[in-house]
Order: sequence, then C-alpha cells, then structure tokens
Amino acid sequence: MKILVTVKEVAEAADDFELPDGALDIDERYLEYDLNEWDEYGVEEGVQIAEENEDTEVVSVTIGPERSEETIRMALAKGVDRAIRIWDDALEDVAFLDVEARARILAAVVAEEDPDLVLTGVQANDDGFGATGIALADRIDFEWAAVVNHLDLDVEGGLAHVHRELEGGVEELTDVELPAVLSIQTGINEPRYASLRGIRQAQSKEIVPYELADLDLDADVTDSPLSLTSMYEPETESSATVFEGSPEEEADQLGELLGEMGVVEG
Amino acid sequence: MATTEQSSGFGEGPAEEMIRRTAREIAAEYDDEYWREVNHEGTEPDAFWQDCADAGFLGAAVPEEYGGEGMGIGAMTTIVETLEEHGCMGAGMLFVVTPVFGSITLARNGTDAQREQYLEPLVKGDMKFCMALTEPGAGQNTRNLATDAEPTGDGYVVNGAKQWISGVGRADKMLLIARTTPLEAVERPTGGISLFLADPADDGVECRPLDTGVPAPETQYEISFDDYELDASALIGEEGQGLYQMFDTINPERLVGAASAVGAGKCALRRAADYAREREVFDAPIATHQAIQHPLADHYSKLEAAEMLVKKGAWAVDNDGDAGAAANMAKLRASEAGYDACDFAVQVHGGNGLATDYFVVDLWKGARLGRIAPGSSEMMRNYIAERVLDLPRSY
Repeated sequence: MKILVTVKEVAEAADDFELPDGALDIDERYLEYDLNEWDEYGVEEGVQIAEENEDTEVVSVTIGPERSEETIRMALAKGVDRAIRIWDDALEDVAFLDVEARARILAAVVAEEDPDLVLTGVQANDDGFGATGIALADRIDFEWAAVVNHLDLDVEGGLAHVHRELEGGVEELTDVELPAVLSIQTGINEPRYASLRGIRQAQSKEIVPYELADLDLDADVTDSPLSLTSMYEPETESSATVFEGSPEEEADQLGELLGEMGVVEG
Repeated sequence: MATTEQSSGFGEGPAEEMIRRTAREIAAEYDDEYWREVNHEGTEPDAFWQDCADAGFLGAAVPEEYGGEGMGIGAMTTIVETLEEHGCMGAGMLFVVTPVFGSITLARNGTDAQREQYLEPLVKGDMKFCMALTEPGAGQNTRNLATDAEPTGDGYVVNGAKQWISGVGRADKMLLIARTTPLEAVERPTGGISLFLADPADDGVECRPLDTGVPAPETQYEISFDDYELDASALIGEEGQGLYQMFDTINPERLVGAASAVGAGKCALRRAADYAREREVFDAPIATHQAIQHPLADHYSKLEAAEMLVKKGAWAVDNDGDAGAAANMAKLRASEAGYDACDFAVQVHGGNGLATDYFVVDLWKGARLGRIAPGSSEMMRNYIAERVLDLPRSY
C-alpha cells in the first residue's frame, strides 16, 4: 500500500510587521517558516497507518523552493519514507499559486506515484483556501472525504471508515472506497516529536526534486483566473468601557450594557 | 537526486537544526508555571522527562548497541542549551545528574554487565542517577577526598561523608567516588581513588537534604556512609584509576553545564528584550535606549562566543581528543556570561525583575549557582593557567 501525504511549508508573520502600501506580500524578514499545522496531523496519520500495516510506504509531496527541504526533512524524521519536492523557474515567478494550479501539479504526482490513499491537511494556515485536497480528488477522480477527524482503515476491504466533523458539533460517519483523498483535521491524532533516531534516519532519506517537465507539465500549469490584487492589515477596532463605583453599582452597569447589546434580556 | 548531505561549511548541519526544533517543541509544552512548581515546590518533572526519553534525548550520548543514539556530547549540549533557552529551567541539572553521571560514566567505564543492566533503563527514562563526589573537608580539591572504600577481598566497606550532592532523593543509583588506597600510601595524590555503583537507599547510606535558597529541580544532600558494604561487582572501571576515569564524566559535565548556562542566559535576554519592547517609561519603550540595547547585544554576543567553546569542547570529546582545556574554558566563559546576562535581564525588568512571575530572578539565582558548580570559575582558571599557559600550580 502506498500513502501520499501532501505537505506545505507555510510562512508565519511576526507579531509586528510592516506592510507598505501596494505591497502584495509581507517582507521576508518578518516571516518564519514551518510545516503547515494540519499537515503535521496528515503526516502522523500516514505514519501510524504504515506502522500498523506491513508493506506500507508513506511518501510526502510538497510544492516549494529548496528552503522548504528543512521543513520536509522533519516529516522524514517523523517516519515518512521518502519525499518529493516540486519546484521550477516557472513557479519561482508566480506570485500566487491558486488551488487549481496546485491540484493540477499534485495530480501529475499522483499519476506518477499511483497511491492508494492521499492525505492532505484540511487547510493551510497561510492562504487558508481549504480546497486543495478536494480539488485534487476531483481532478484524479478519487473518492474523497473532507475534514476527517477519525480514520479506521480496512486495507483488505479497500475501505476507509471515517468520521467527518460537520458544523455545529455534528459528526458524520462515512465509508469511502479506496483509492481516496482524505483531508485531515487537527486533533485526529497526537503528532509525535521528531526523535533523535528519526532525525538520524532522515539524513539518509531521499528528497527527490522534480521540475514541471519531469511531470510532463508545462509552465502554463500555473495559469490562473485569480490574481492577488492587494494585501492590507484590517483595522482593528476595540472600545473599552470602564465601570466606576461600588461592586454593586459596577455590576448594575455591566448588566445594563449587556442588556443594551442584546447579550442578556431584561 | 538526494539532498541529504551534512553541512558543508561553518554552522549547524541539518541534523542539529532538527534536534533544536524537537527540543523547542518539547519546551513549548511546559510553561513557566510548570517549572516554577518543579524548581520551587519539588514537583517531579516526570512528563517532561518522559518526553525527553521518547525523543531519544536521554540516550543522545549512549552507544546504539545499548539503546542509545550514539550522537555524542555535541547533540546533548545542543539539546540542553535549546531546552534551557526556551524556558526549561533546570533541564541542564537534570541532564547532568542522570545522562552524564549515569549513562556517560557507565558507557565509558562501566563493565559489560553494568552497561547491559543500567543503560537501557537510563535511556528510557526509567532510572535516575546522582554522583557523590564533593566532601565537606575536600571541597573542590578532589585529591583530598577522604571517603574510604576499604577492600575486603570480595568487596569494599565504605565510610565517610559527602556534601552538596544533587538529586540523591530521587536517584535509583549513585556514582560514588571513594579512596581505595589511603592518601599517604599512594605514589601520587591522584591515584588510589575508585568509582563505584552505589545504592542510595541502602541502610549504610544516610542522606539529609540541604536548603540552598536556589530554585532547582534537584535537591542538594549531605550523605554519611557508615560501614556501607559494596560487592566487588559495584566497582566501575579499574580500582585506583577513578580520578583519571572521572575525566570521561567531568568534561561532559562541564560542557553540559556550560550549554545550560548559555541557554539560560539567552532565555533571560529574550525575556528582557521582550519586556523592554513593551515597557514604556518617559514616553518611549525602554528598548529604544542604548543603555538597554548595548548591554543586551554585548551579553548575547558573549553567550554566542561561549557557545562556540562548548561546540569545540564537545567536538573534542566526541572525537576522542583532549577536551580538558576547551571544556574548562567553555564552562568558565559560559557560566560567567550566563550570570552576567541573567543579572542584566533582572536590571532591565526593574522592580518586576525580582517578582517570581517574571521568571528572570529564578534564572539569575540558577546562574549564580553555575559559577560555583559544576566546578567553580576559580578552578576553571587554575586549570587554564596550569595546563594551557604552563604556569606553576598556585595551591
């Protein structure tokens, strides 16, 4: 069995950063890079499946520059067997890689690797589209389930019994036939630390760099009807009401305010 | 094409950065309150220790054949420095007491049977250790130690006293350093000392806690040995060669202590910088003043310089070189720079610096201890003066 886990290196901005007028991105000096939080859970889920099922290979795939290898190697240290990293001059020039473009590139990797199961994070904590996994499933014509927070895999039966987290605390139980794409929700497991042993082993695991041509893709794979037009920090508004008087008077004033705001009646 | 080569130039290779990441992730799980309870109230840091064991940290310097990772003191100092830098106050002491005193001593000088029996539980976090070296009458002058392990033919009988021994209360085993040949009967005062694997819970061993006023995860003890009987199998290494074998433990101890001081100093400076950015007095954050910025920059650069010495010493240990000079210089520079950094961090915080909520006062007290142990700054200077500069022995 082969599991493909999509991972993304995401940028997190420092608490204090400057965004000049007209800038379409936050300057590099304010950014720190790390593995997307949701993907941590996807990696852990894939590794746990491999630990429970013999002859299971876990391959991670990412679209990212050479810098992202540092992040990918942490996934290798946590038990992923090998990694694929896709980068290309054509990608270097793209300011904004949309969901469809990502899905097209990842679909080419699926064609190359032929996995039984693809695990993606529900979303990425930088651009937050929350759609790559499902767009990929649609493109490669796999079954899919989104926002999976419990997974019980029947390898022989080729079925994934999944719990899906719906709005309002409702859970859905679904059986999904393999091959499938599952988007993994945080909390489905407890991601492990990269142990010293894993770190040592990761040094000799393979991260294969692919260019678009290696996947029979042209530069126009990045074409998108979407473009980033502006980026700005929303103004934050806050008002503080200071109550004065005895505790009883302050409590009355608070009650009155909550009533005016419709938080409480009466 | 694989891109897994080690660092090709100066700086940290990919493995070292990954070790730091894991250490940061573990540190992030334990907040100031956790360490306040560990260091002030004696709460057992079991959850933290188990995380360190699961990550392989406790076996960093233990050979793979005994369940360790065989990565050496370089990895261990990286781990300790990172944990301390990210708020795990006392992690350095915990690592010195068990992985250094226990695992490194047995890995380097233990018998096959001792290694087989103890290294695995030490690596897994199932066993704690301590070391009984310093004595009321000998202090830092180890050659004068008077605890006597008299050979009886099939074992030894131990009598004497030890003082300022960390972590005896929770230790399952003790590295005991005692004289097997009286001082007056040896050719050289460094001879006639042996290492033993002792049991702190034995009836012949009496342990009394000491109050130090320094917040720390390990309590200090004084110990009396009264006709404490040891089997011949308790001997570690070769009888009479203990002081020489001790360098296999002492140099890593100094380096891990130094790494801990660097980490704690950086922790204090980061908190001072964060505080200075927020604290507004006279209409501006105090961080805008050079009287704050320049000392912070000085202290940080001195810690980085000390860290380079730690790396040099660790490299020497891991490559079977003579680590003594680098280990002593690293310990001297790191503990002095660490103390100065913590002291300035308290100053930046003003009155708040003395409030335990702000944590830096604990770091400052811990750093003060670091100038006395493991090995005082004066003994580090003595070593450098005599062994590096070839000056006459002054004491």
